[in-house]
Amino acid sequence: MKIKILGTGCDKCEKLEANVKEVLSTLGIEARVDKVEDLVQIMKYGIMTTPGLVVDEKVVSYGKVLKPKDIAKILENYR
Amino acid sequence: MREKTNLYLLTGFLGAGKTTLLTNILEDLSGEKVGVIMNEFGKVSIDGNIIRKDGIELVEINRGSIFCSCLKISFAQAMMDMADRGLKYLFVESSGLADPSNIGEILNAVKEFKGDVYEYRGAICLVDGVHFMEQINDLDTVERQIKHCHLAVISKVDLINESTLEKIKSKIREINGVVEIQTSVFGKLNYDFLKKDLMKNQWAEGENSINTPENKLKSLTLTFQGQVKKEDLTRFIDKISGNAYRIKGFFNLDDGWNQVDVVNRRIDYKLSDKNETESQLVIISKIGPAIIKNIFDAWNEVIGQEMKLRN
Repeated sequence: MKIKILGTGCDKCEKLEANVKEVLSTLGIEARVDKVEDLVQIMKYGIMTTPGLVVDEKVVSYGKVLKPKDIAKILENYR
Repeated sequence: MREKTNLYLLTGFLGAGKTTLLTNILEDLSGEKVGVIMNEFGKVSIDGNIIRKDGIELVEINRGSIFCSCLKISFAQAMMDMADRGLKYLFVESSGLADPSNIGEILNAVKEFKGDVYEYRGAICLVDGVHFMEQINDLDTVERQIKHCHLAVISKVDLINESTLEKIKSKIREINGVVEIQTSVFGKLNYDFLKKDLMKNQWAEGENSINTPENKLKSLTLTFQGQVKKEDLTRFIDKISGNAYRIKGFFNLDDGWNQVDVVNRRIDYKLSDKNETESQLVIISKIGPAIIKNIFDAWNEVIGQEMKLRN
């Protein structure tokens, strides 16, 4: 699984990244987590607000900091 | 290809009269296709009826703080929306965008998606005639805005005397040697600047050239009370070292006091028996004052605790 956090470097993006990492370790999922901070790259995903969450190149959420339980639900679908 | 939209940035500290000036500029330009992007938080918006009547396109960005870097996307989106409207002028009113390295990044993003639609014509900085002399001593933002603008407009000059005005002018000159200076009363201004090439009044970016007095190296001191992990300090330094000639100092790290030495991108740590009261790093910028934002962003991202940065 490949996960990307889209964010220009604000607190919310940091928080989302931390939540994602927490869920990955709780569920024992092996995944690569990358941060995308470049404005152009972020906008290429077509999102209007950050932070964005991308799983296997699909935007699964944007504009909010997902709670760990919501992230877990999403990630279960990609296992 | 259609004509490019002339883009102006309007900066200035809170209360300096940006909105008043903008309202007047818009009145003067009625008949032209003009767009406005405003991002100030909690600001009274320009009367929507006037704007609609004059065919002015307005986008307001006020979700979130202007200090949040998340807003960059909103800006780029707003500028992309505006790109499709065939505008002659676009004014971006913003204190959050005072740092022109930001506008460059945003313009590049817009270019990527919409092509070369904007001609950046310069930054206009409103200087509060009544409060400037106090603000300049306390607020780095005000100094940065002046450094990065191409036209400085001193507002409220009817409320100050001649000697204060002269003091303000010479202070502005001290900070920015080439900026054009104008004065204004009730937001009234000589609109010649719309025809002039303001970009020739570029000062701050000349920092990299060798023939300006501004070329002297920018050195900053970061001080911090407390302890951080060595790996975190490394992450922080990695984010800024590309923009610094040299970083050095002493830092309280998880394995004790370290002497920190950074040349180019290489970081050397050496345990030290020094017992300082606070950690200190001296940073010599390659990119002039633009590194200030870089340092704050990187520090907040990696460490997030309170630190002090001074000249």
